[in-house]
Amino acid sequence: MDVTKLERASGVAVSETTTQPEVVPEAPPAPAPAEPVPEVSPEIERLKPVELRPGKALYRQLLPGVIQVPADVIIAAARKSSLWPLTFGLACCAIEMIATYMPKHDLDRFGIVPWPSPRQSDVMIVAGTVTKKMAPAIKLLYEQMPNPKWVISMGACATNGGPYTAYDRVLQGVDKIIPVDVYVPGCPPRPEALMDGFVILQKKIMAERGKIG
Amino acid sequence: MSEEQERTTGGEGERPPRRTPEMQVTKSDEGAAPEPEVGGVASLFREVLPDVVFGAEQQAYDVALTVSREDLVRVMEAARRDPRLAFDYFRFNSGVDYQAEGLEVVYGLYSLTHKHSVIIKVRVPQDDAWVPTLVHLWKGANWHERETREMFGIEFRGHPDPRNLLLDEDLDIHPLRKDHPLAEIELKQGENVF
Amino acid sequence: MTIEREFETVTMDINVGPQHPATHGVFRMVLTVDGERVVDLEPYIGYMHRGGEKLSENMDYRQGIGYQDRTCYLSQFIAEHAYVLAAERLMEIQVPERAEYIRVIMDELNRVASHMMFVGAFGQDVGTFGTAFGYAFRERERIQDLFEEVTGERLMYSYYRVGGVAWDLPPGFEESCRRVIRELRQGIADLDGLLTTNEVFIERTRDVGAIPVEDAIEYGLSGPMLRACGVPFDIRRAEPYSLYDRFDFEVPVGDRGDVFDRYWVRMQEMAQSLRIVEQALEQLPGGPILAERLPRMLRLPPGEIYQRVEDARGEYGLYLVSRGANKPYRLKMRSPSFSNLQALRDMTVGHYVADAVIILGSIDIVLCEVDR
Repeated sequence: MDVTKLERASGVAVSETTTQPEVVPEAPPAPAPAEPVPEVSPEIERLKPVELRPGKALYRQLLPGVIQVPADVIIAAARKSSLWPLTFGLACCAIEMIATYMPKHDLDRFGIVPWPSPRQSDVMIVAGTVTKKMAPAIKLLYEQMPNPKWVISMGACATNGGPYTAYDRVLQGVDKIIPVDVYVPGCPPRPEALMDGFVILQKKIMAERGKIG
Repeated sequence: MSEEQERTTGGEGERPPRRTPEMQVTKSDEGAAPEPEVGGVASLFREVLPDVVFGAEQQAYDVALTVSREDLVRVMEAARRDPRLAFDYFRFNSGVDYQAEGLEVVYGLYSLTHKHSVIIKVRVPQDDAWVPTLVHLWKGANWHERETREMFGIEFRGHPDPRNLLLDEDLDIHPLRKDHPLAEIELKQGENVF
Repeated sequence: MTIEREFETVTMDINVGPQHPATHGVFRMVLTVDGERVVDLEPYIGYMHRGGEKLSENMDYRQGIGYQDRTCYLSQFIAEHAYVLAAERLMEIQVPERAEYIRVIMDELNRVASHMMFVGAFGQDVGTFGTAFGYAFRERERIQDLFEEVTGERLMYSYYRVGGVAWDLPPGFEESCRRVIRELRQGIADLDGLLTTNEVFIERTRDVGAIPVEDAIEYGLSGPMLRACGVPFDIRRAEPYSLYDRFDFEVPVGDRGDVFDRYWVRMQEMAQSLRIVEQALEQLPGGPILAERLPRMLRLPPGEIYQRVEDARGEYGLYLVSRGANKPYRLKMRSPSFSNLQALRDMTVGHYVADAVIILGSIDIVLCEVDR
């Protein structure tokens, strides 16, 4: 017995004494009865007039299996499932942002793809300290993004200046120039925290679906 | 000490006389030198430029020489060109604000040929803060001098490109001076940002 | 540089940055191009100037360690090391040997992590898109996991203290460190196979952005930038600090000073760093990890010190002026990227626009360090 197992496993020709009742190919008989069915019959079935029952929505009777949802839910679900953040690293948080995109944490599975141009992106991740010299550029980038757009403020510096808040060339929070949707705390936030920020943003998009054009 | 004082001054009290540091320098010939007569690079400088007055002190790693503003270019040219010194590597240049005692410009130099280093210091008064530029000797001095100029308000006479480097171009503040205060924490959003 | 051309062309200014995927942060440069050739380049920095020096002067010595992390956010341990070494030398504290060994292990792993970041980003610049980045970050994550095990943080460690380190290594650190070294060796070999012998990569990087040795020295370039030109200047060798005189390692140098050499030097340095880590693990003694009889509030005696260490990018120096207070009177950070970036114009003029990106990438700038 052991020998035959070994032989099978090793791929060497199996001796004739081995009985293989189940391995005999029995596949053809199963599809055989299905084939003679004439191909016109489903068409005929479909072309029959539907019996309309009063009291039930017409489209459900005509098109069974179709789900009815408001258009804004569909649009919001589509938007939240493919958020394209602007690749835009400012300071140390950018390293953790890159780490979040990279294989171990892999933001792609949320449908989140980094995009280098503001014209095609939906989300701006402000990852790092915003200085007053940089602030006009960030505001311009935000204005270049098409609606609807969201902003994630990543880390303490973008939220309120963080450790650098007491220096007068540092903007004390990016929310002084652009509206922020989600604040992610941490210095820097872990990749999990940024992912959580994205999940919160997705929930927010669903919750606010009626308000966004 | 109130918070504002602490923010602006940083240090406290007068500068006490320098202690004798433990000699743990990498160069063995500097190791045993006592405080008043610092050997090594300092004696080399005195040998090359016998008519210049140097104040020398031993830091933990380097010999720090204090020269006057008038001698700076001569000293630096000798440091760069003289084969006995041959300081070809420009480490850094920065300033220190000693408030009433003036501003100090600090240069760090290293010689890749002789493997020795030196710190050169120049003290200038607050209201007449200028030193000659050294860009013609080391190209690397360019940005360092621009940064020191904007941070401390020290003019580098003859600098080819004396614009702001790190701050906005039209800004005329000197953040690293001790009298430049830290920012107040703003609480309102969207007002008086720029 | 004279450029032969068939047509009379008009030069054009192209603004790159401050937000640009290829500038590694908030760096802005204005390229003046004649067709595809760069004829002039003007770098603009300061978009990340956030006053680390000024704020360090208003924080006590323990708090200042955190600013070192954030200044040098790819080689945090090495920057911390410079800071605590400066304070220790001024206070004349004898650091326990175990603490110094731990620091060396952390420094060298940090150097590998930083170079991994460089290789990934550089591969992206050259045109491997995500591939090199993915491989490099796989290795980086291993090191970061190890750091997290030791320090509890992924990026801003604040692990070193004046007089030692914050706490001891976790149990089982040696085994996990040896495992990480094994995996890193494999990872470096992977990246080596992906890039070093890749013909397209070599074509793209050979003889691009070369800088003569004299210019490199005069500009104050340091680290892999200078060693690529053939100058074996490494602070760990030239002016050994900490325990670096106890380890056997080589200082790899290039010969042409071009972009490929800079990449190659960094790849070799990673292997050397792993060698140092292995030796340090072998020699790692027991004992305390923090010097005894340290005051609760550190007050440094008056004095000045220029403490330099070998950062992943070059010479990181701190000019610390103490006047006896519990915080530095002046803390100048001499960052390697700042000096290295000055040479960008000289390296780029005469090359194609597409090469400007990889020349910038080869400097491995960290903008927080340039602007501080």
